[in-house]
Amino acid sequence: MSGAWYLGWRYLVFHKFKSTILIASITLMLFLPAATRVLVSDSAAALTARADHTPLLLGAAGSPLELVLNSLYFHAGQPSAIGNETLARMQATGLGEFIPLNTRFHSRGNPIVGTTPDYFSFRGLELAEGRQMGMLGECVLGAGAAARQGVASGDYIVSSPETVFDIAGVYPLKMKVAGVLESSGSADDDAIFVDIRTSWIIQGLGHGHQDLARPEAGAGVLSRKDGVITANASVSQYAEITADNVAEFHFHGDTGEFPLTSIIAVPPDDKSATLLRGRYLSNDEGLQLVVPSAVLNDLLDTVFTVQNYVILGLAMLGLATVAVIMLVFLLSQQLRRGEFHTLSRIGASKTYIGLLVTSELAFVFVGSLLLVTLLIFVMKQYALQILQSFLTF
Amino acid sequence: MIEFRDVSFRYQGGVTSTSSATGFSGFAMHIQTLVVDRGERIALVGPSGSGKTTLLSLVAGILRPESGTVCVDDLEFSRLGDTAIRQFRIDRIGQVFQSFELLDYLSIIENVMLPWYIGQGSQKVGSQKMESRCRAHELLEGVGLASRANDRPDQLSQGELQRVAVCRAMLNHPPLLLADEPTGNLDQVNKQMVVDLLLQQAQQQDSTLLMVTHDQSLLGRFDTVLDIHSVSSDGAPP
Repeated sequence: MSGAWYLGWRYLVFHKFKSTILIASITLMLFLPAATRVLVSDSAAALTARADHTPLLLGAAGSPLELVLNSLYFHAGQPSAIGNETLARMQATGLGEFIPLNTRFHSRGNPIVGTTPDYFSFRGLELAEGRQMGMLGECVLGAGAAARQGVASGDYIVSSPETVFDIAGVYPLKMKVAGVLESSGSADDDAIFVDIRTSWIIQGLGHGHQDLARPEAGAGVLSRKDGVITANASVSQYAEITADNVAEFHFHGDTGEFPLTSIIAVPPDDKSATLLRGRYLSNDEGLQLVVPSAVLNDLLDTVFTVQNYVILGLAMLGLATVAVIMLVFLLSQQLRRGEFHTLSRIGASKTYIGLLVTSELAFVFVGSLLLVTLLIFVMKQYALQILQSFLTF
Repeated sequence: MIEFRDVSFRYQGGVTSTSSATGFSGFAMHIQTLVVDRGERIALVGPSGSGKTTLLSLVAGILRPESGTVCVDDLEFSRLGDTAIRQFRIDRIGQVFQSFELLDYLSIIENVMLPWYIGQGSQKVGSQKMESRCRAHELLEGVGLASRANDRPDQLSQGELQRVAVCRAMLNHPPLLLADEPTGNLDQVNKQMVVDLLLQQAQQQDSTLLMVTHDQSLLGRFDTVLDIHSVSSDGAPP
């Protein structure tokens, strides 16, 4: 390091506080617009990638954005439910593969996604350990969810009750972890997958309890008349589905009316897709069939517009920061006139003193650039999660 | 060693003096003849504002005369460019100032090495750094400050600071040592110590010492006492 550069370095090291403030100011000035751009572009790429792999999505009429975000990322508000019979009707068309989703419930912050095994092959999800869910009450966890809950295959998790203080409400269901998925770097990592019927049991549409026809249930039976057995509340319901009691789980009512959040439609070709879209052009049934990538592109158009305004604002803020930094720097040079005079008297040229000042600026800017690069690198790792947290409304 | 012939100097316009004194606008001096031999130890005296610091600055090539010739070590400054004079100053002239003028962000040993840091760009000899550091350490050892080599200037007393400044001036074995009131800010004990040090260093290196002082008690230590009025007349040359 030449003399001037060394002296510049020593000056910055000695005035740590001042140097730190300068570096922090310039870092922020450079980081904010760069981070905004990177965050938006990376997040947009990640968002559209998942949406691009989801051809069509059917859900209740309402906000298409809410439907897409909920069904693809299991975040955002819960859209209105559609009936299970819609799935049957779609399957009857033969226009593709149809995968139901029920995303209403959670377990300690992780979304419980009721679906069918087709979902795993559709998303290309592979098991890292254990096996697929084989019976009611079993679940398969995404890698992130398993890590967060601290469970592995063979352990148990419990669904979170929706109404804690409602004694007539739905009781939490204890579920066995059948397997854990490999990390996919998507929203599936944080999800807990159950069979669609298990999600209905969590909702209270199906349940299991002791067989009232058996003599040991006698204490709870109020009357037996014409084949109708009336029991009181002492009849115990099962909070866990096991191999012993699975046969006693049953659903009440018409399963065609059971709720689904949405149905992913995977038509085999463009013609089938067009036919499917044609069927749901009118809103007569209270349904909407959306193309997720188109919905997200609309969102991203808005995000990009906002981004441009934000960057414009940050640029103006940056100019003001540069002006203040220059002012501070010039005032600092005034205060250092004595020092420069001494250097000059000993033999330093104006060029040397200029190099000394330049070296200080260079160190500050290089330090800031390194810091910005590091921050951008760290931020890129979390770009999608950051955006998802913004989109959770 | 030092030779002034018919030298005229005038501060132009505002204050451009290297002195801390202000109000030099329009100050002028004329030196008909001044010759200082190598190895001489001279005390330069005279009232404030009489041009002692200006004379030292002319000798160091910091100021350029309006007319006349200034020769130092057989080099005529008027024939040299700024770069050459600066290099000459780094290599051949050691300077000690009244207010020490050490850099607060450098350690003591780095302050002593300051002429090396300044001259390094032109010398292009990286291996000299170690030699320079050894020399700085040796000088500090000579003034009893080797153990403080890595301290900061604000950790030293006034007397210690001036000893460090003398070491800085001596780094390049200069044949010419200029000291501008180096004892002005010191108590009696430190005054004697610093003058002893300057004289001792000048003797060891066979250097010429030109020291400005107001302290009458120190004059007896020098070979020659030069009153600025005996060599310089105010105003334009006659």
